[in-house]
Amino acid sequence: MAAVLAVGLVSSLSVALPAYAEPGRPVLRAGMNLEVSTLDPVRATNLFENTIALNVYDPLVFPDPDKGVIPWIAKSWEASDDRKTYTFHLRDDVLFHDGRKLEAEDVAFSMKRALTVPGLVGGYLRSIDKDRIEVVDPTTIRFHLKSVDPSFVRAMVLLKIMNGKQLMANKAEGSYGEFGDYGAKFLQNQDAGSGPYMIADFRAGDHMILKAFDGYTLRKWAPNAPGEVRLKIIPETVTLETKFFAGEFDFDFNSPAPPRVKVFEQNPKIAMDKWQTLNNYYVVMNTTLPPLDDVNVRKAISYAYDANTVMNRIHAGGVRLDGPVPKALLGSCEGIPRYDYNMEKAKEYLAKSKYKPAELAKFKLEFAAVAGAEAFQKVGLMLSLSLKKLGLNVEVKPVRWTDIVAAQTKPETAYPFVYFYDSARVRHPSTLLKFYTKAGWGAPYPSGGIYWQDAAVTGMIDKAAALEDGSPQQMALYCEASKKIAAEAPAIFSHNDLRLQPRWKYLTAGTRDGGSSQYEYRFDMFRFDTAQPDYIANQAK
Amino acid sequence: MVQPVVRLSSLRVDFKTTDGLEQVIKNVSLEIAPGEIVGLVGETGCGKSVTAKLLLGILAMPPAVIAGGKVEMFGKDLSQLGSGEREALKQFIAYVPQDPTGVLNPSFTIGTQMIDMIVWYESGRRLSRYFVKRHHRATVSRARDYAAHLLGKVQIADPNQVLSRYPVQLSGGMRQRVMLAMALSGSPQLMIADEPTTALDVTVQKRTIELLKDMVAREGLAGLYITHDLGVAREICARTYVMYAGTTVESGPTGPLLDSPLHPYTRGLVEAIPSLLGGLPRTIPGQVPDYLAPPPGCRFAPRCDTAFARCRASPPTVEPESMRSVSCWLYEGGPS
Amino acid sequence: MVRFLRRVLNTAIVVLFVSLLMFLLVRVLPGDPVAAAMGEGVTKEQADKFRAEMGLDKPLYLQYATYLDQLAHGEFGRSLIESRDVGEIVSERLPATLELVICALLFAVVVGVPLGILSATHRNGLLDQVSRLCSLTGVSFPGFWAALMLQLLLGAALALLPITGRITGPPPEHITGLYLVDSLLTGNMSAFGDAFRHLVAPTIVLALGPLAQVTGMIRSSMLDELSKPYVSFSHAVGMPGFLINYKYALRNAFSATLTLIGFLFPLMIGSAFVVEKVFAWPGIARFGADAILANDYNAIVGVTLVVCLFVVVVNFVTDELYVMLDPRIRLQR
Repeated sequence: MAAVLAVGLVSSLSVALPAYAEPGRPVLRAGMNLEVSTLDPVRATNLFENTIALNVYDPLVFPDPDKGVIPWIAKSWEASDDRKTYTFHLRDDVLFHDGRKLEAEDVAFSMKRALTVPGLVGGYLRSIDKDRIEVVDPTTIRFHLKSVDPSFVRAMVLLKIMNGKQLMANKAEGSYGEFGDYGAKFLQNQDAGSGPYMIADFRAGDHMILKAFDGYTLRKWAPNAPGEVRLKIIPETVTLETKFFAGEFDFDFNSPAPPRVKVFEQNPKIAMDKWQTLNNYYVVMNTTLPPLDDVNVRKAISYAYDANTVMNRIHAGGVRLDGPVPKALLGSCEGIPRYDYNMEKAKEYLAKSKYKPAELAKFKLEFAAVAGAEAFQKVGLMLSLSLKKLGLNVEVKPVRWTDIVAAQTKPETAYPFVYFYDSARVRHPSTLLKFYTKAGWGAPYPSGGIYWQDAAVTGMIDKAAALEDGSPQQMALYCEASKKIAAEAPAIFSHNDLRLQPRWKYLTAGTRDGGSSQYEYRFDMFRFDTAQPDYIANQAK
Repeated sequence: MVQPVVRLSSLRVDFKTTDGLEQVIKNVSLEIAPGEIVGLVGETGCGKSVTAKLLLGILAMPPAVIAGGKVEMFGKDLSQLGSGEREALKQFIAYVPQDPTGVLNPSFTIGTQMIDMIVWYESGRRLSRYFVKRHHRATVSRARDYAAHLLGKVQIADPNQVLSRYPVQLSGGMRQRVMLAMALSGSPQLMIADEPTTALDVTVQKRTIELLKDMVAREGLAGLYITHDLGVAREICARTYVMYAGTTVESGPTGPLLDSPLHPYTRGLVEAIPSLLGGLPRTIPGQVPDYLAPPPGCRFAPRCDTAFARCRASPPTVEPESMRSVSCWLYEGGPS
Repeated sequence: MVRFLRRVLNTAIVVLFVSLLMFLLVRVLPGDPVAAAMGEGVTKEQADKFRAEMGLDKPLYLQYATYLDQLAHGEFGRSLIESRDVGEIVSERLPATLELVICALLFAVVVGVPLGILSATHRNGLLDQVSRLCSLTGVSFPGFWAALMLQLLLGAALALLPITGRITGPPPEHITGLYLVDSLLTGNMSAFGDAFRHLVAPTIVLALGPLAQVTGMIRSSMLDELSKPYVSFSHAVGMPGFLINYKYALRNAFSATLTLIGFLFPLMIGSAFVVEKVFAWPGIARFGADAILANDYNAIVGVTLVVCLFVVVVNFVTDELYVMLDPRIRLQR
């Protein structure tokens, strides 16, 4: 054993010295309260892994909060009439960090890799036929879809283009046949991207240093944009705040908790940006379980849920969510049934239920709240108190996120209630509505644990998929589907939350929604007012 | 007259406890002349150990307070001495404790413990000087030789071997001899022995007493020998003081005192010795009185079968020191 | 020597047993590691692929055999949450925790022992009362809160100490992984000062409980020792109080404390979790906790095994020291 240990101790990584910024270019400093487990953009899951990925890699199309997507590495694209073939025309001046020109081969490689290597991106792109990816010429690539997917172009935002040649030149032994480990070892502490930043130093569990890529052509570098980004892992959010106020961090990724908001707002040196997100908060119900299989019971529960308190007291504000899709994604859609907190109506609907009060009182329903997330527990407690008045017993249980995810994949194990949010990565109604069709059942995401469907709804969603994306006809169908779903109340549709983003005033950070989740954290868009004394004082820390 | 090594005159020691004031020592007068061994006998709890502790300078004060009388050692009034001077007297006292087992530190060798003492005495009671000397090779080896020499004096056959031993590796008699050797490691003039043989078995006891007598004679020590064994007292002590409940009730040359005891308590003690000739020993009925509320008169009165009214009313006065003295109303006007 | 070899053999058996126990335990626990590692939107083929990649599709005994084989080669398998070899992670993070725990333990002993002695020698005095009050507070103090307060006070408000982390500048050349030791070995005094400043606050927080325990333990065993005849004898023969307290009585009083220290060590690795979290200390306790939350099998087993090994080694060392300190035990052998 001693020998084993000795080997372990000796074989430790040699530590690269942190690189220091050139004089004159600002350094952006921030803390991350979650570990960065992987630098592989395909495997990235949490906020920080994704943030790093989208700063180090670029997508073919770039998210835009107003226009949906705008050309990026792809300067244009077109779809075939049957919407099953998409051709992208690439720019010819995009460089990878190793200096090589980005070509269609790299896009093909990245797509195959995303569909092969386990990761969340693959899930959104699964309609693509992996065996029919065509490299037409170095600047043209064509994808064939197995079935029509209206969210396809938007989902392309998630595909990060990787330097295929570099990864293959550095492949290690692995389980992917000719692809070896598909570059996993190489990606442990470096990148293979073309994005505005390069990974300069990474120490798992400790820090990440990104440096500006001078060969970046997709956006001109502003002199007051961060020339270097230093991210420290600070697992404790209170410590994060302390460091932020001490001037060691320029901004805070986390929204402050409601009782702390004032502390931020009263500080004259700190600014707080607020914007509406498209994070959808739901309480999903397992509709296969009695008494949740009864629509009247579900409606009663929806009426007993005090969304305003949840949104404004437990969370830091937001707007009400009607139905499964936020209004911003549905265009003009009116008349979605809404359940405003009303105990009288709740009682009314419960009385209509096929279950007698005595039967209802016997059920013990579990509310799974993600362990460690205090706000989630509070929501559960509030709902259970409210339902107690109706004669329903709900027990709030803290459950690890991974266990919730595992439980939701089967109707027998899916929790009666789970409170969670969906960050609407791909801003398309179809990705949110699929959970209310059989195709979305059993997805390891809590919404996959609803197990509800309706033939009419499924029909409408399928029909909409074949229509021109974003067309009024398509929107009308999604609107109708949303109405029908909301009328059956398979979940409590709570709200979209408000993002609070504290920053020092000398910094202009992502002041609004970035068009896709976390794109507000493209650091090349951040600007420093380098003349401010606070800036000068803080940069020295 | 030669100056006594120790003189206690009308000593009174009180203990301040949470229950009240305990008058533990009341009216003790005692003298030890140079070269003289004086015995102090009495039952357990009569104040012998308190007296010894007071002389050794290890009586915890508080709770103890010297409430009256005078303590003189080597001609110095202790109440006039500073703590440093008081401490300095200690190396002139050879202390032979009751149980050698607990007194030797189990974690250190005999050598370490003896060398520590020898070096400390040599350092003139200065810690800094001690630490320097204790790590000075020549000094330590000299101290070791001296320790071996001292062990030789107490008839230990292989002193060097014993020096490297831990206390647990030695027998009881051996340990007591080590104690005697340690007692000599200063330059003692006075020995205080607190029942040094009670923890030993009879044969060892005998040899140890011989050794002790021999040592005292050779070194010319004065001594206070505390015991409840009157036989041992007779063997060792020229004079003996009998203590009862914090007072010296009777004193005199050991032989006559034990042969013809005057005080009823002494008589009781003598009769309690099991004799080869006459049956079971008699015991003194009753118990040592409560020090919180001692009897107003003679402290022995409640247990005394010859007590009369006066005994209970006021304590008997102690006759000034003569060859024999007794503190009892029976002998008012001098022992007859 | 025979005894020593027997100890080593015992240690090996304990570690092997723990490895088996941990291996089985994590696999019995609920929760799917694949879902944990991959998150939302994963397809079944991808999940299966992942399972195969991690060897999770094989029967348990084969998984364990593979695992033991890897152990023999010094590999702990790959971690799910950091997608690299657990051995590598452990070798990187263990020294951070060890440095913290050792410093805290040293601090607890260096401060706690004299404090306990003074408490005992000045029993019921002001110092004793204050230190007993502090002990009580120290034991019942939430470390988390203390950490945050120290951070706010010393780190943010007074700016005396860094708020988080292990080092600000470049770390010293890697020799043992303990920054203080490495910087001394390479004569890199600026790194030493840097690392030291970062250690102060976390060390104090981690040492709070143990300090109180050590003080209390020393105090009570000193009181016990001071009432023993050898102490009053030493006083009677005029030996100085300093020597009596710090040499004679302490030697005997320390044995019990030594046992306590052997016992505190694993506890402190456990409670280091909070400190590592608040001070963003890149240690193994935090990693272990994350691994448990994420059902990271290999990491849990690897971390437990290495920590267990250290605990066994520390107990071994304290036992040996105990024997060295107390001749009675040594002589009975």
